Amino acid sequence: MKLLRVANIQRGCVYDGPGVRTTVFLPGCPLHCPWCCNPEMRDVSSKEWQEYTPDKLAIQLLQNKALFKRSGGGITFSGGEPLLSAKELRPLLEILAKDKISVFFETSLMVKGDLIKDIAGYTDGLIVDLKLQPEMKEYDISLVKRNIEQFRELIKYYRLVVTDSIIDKSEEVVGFLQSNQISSIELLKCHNLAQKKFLDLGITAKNYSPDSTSFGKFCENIKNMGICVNRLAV
Amino acid sequence: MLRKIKYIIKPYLPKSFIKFLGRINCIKADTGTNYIKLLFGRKVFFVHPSKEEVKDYVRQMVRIFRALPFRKIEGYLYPYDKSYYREIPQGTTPLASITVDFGTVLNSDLIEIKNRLSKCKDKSFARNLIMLVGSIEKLWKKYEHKTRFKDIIHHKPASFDEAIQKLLFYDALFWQARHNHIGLGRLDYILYPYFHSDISSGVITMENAKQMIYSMLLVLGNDTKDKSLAGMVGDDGQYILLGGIGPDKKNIDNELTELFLEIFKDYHSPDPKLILRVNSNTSEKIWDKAVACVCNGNGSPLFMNESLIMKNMASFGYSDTDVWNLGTSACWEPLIIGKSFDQNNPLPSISVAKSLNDVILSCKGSESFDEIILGCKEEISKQINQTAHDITFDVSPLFSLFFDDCIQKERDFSKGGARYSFHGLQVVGLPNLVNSLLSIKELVFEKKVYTISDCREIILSDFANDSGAIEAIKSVKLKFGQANKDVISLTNDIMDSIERTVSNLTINANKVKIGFSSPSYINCGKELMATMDGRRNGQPLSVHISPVSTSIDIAEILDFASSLNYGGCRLNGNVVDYIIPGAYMREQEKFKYIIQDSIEKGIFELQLNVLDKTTLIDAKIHPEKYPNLIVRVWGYSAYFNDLPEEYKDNLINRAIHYEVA
Repeated sequence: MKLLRVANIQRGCVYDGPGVRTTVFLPGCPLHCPWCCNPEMRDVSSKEWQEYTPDKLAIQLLQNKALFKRSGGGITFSGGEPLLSAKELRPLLEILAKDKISVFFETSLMVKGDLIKDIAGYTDGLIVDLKLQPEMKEYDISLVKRNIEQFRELIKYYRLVVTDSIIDKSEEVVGFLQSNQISSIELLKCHNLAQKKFLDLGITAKNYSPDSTSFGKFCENIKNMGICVNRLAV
Repeated sequence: MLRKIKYIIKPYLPKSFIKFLGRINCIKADTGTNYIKLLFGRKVFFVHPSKEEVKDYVRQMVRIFRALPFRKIEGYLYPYDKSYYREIPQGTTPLASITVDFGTVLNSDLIEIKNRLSKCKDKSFARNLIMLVGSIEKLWKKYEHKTRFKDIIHHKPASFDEAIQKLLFYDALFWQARHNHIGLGRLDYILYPYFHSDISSGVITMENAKQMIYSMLLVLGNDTKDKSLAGMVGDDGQYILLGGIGPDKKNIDNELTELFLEIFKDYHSPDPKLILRVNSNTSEKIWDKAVACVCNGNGSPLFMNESLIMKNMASFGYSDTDVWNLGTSACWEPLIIGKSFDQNNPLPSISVAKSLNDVILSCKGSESFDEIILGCKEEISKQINQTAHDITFDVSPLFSLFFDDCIQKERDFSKGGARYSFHGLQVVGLPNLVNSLLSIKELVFEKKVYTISDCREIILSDFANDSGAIEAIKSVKLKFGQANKDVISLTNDIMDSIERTVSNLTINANKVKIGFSSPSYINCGKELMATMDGRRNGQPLSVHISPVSTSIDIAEILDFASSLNYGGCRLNGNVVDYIIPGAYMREQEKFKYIIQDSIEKGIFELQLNVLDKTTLIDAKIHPEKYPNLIVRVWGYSAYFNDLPEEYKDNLINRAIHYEVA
């Protein structure tokens, strides 16, 4: 049985799906978002990660079963791009399903549809992080649109990190949302809390955070164009 | 100086004059005497001193009550004036951190008390207390006509308004007697009958009641500076305890509980503060209001896991018929309201990281980690035994009137009258100790990067001789606060050892409690050299049971704290202290679930600051922009601007840590 490589496990998360959730961060990502909170997870082989068998990881994750039940929470897989680990996750997902634990994935959706199909039967929802910022030239928008269309029922939340580069592009953002029949979005003001991580990796870290007033205005613009907005905070 | 003058001139004075001179009680805000100042414009009165402490107390209080000026705040008589103060007998420790049962106070009738006293066999005891009662009656009578109330000291209150007045009147007297940190206790339980009666009969509306409570809070908070410990404005022990079970073991939560929480949600003052007793039956409504209150940012309420605490108190030695009335002494240390003389921290805190430093500096036990642990436990035990000793306390005939058993036993409150006298010690720096031990285990005994001698040099040079040591320590995987079995096991091992030592102690022939939270993290830190958790010489120690690492979030520290053993004498407060990022304020319901889960798992107590580093940093630079920014300090709330700079810096550093977690 292939071991699961885990970068981090964070409990008590309130922004990673319904209820209070435990978020499992898995390494590996096809993208290189310049404002990424976890740049160290881009490269799977870059460091030694904690390895788990599905049973061992399940035991650890189920420690908070009572809290999940109380709050309507569960487990969220994030990263990196967690869907890259879809095959390795199957045995764990089967264990969690037996315990009726809610499972969500935070994903860019920039993965083959087959990987999503692999986990779809064991997943209660996807949180899709749309990479609509101008810097994201590597973002395969066609692939993402196909996945949105194919797995629309599974997608529960759409999310956008609001950088200073997108702050004046509310119309383009709304255009994308409307053309893909997306009626609500979570907006998160870009922060630079992970700046030290970039420095430790020897990568120049730029601050992409917009000021609060501009962020507020952006949210209002999106809302005024008929999209339901939920503002998140770190 | 005054004594010297008296000593010199006394032989030349007539005996009658000496008697008249007595003790000059000078009246001013600061302590100490200055005979020259007495003669020029200061208020002076003479009290014939007595070697009998109780008699001396009563004589002084009689004189003070006679001299107290009229004082009304928010329409209520509140006769407290710090410039009149009672001289405490030399060599005695003042009484502090007492929670009076204001239910008993409200039900009291001074005539009935005098009648009980007149039946005492100890006539001296009775005479003194009757004199004190008489002076209270005279004080009330003197100013009664200026209030809207009649004769409150001789009957139960006839209304909610009267109950508040009686509570405030006596509260002022307790403070006036120079007893510090007077807790208000369970006001939702105590005031409810009067509130309910007036609301039901239409005498007052809910809005009236809200206004009266708000006025009461303003009266209590009016003298915060005068009532606070020097330099720590807000640390005056004025807490209001809500929720929990009653004598019938059913929850007492009522409309007053909700009303207090609603008021505090919008109450932008650090004084008084709230503590909430919670259990598995605490209603969702109370939980929602409590969390909304916390998210307001005034640091209230502190949450007490009452089921765990009451169970442990009953095992320790409190009667299980008394534990339902669990309260705290000032900040967080459990006691029994109206029955406890328990002094929470009359002695210096036990600085456990210092004990490890002593082991390392003596280079004892360099062969194995087990030897280090053993040496450390021995040093801690030595420190505890050296710290604990019997204490001569001040007396309180005033408390003796209202605390259970004092009149019955015919003994003063602090001299065996109160039912419980389980005094407490406090440990400071437990996270620093555990992290230091974990560093030594990994770096010295597993990876063999350093020897114990190297550690000694690191401590002595304050990390100057090895610039890489701090990074090496930071990279140690295991940290205090991780819900990891090795960390939990080590922490419990240290706590068990401390518990065993303390359980063999007595203070004034009574069992002693220990708690793993302490207000001394800055002061003890100043006196401590560098420690092997990366802490530099003189830096603050960690706060209560809280992580020092940036990688431990709220959920993990709560899981960790709920795995610790709080049995035996580990009753003197064990507070998880955390700074919650602002994100939780937007997800209050989820935040509530996290706290509920932690109570169920078994944490002892929890206090939370809801702050972000940006605000704190800006407030330090521009205090004028944040006149009402309130923060939670060791066990009380304060205006950030009122804190000494080192406390501000400590909060900022902690906020930075927890934001990254």
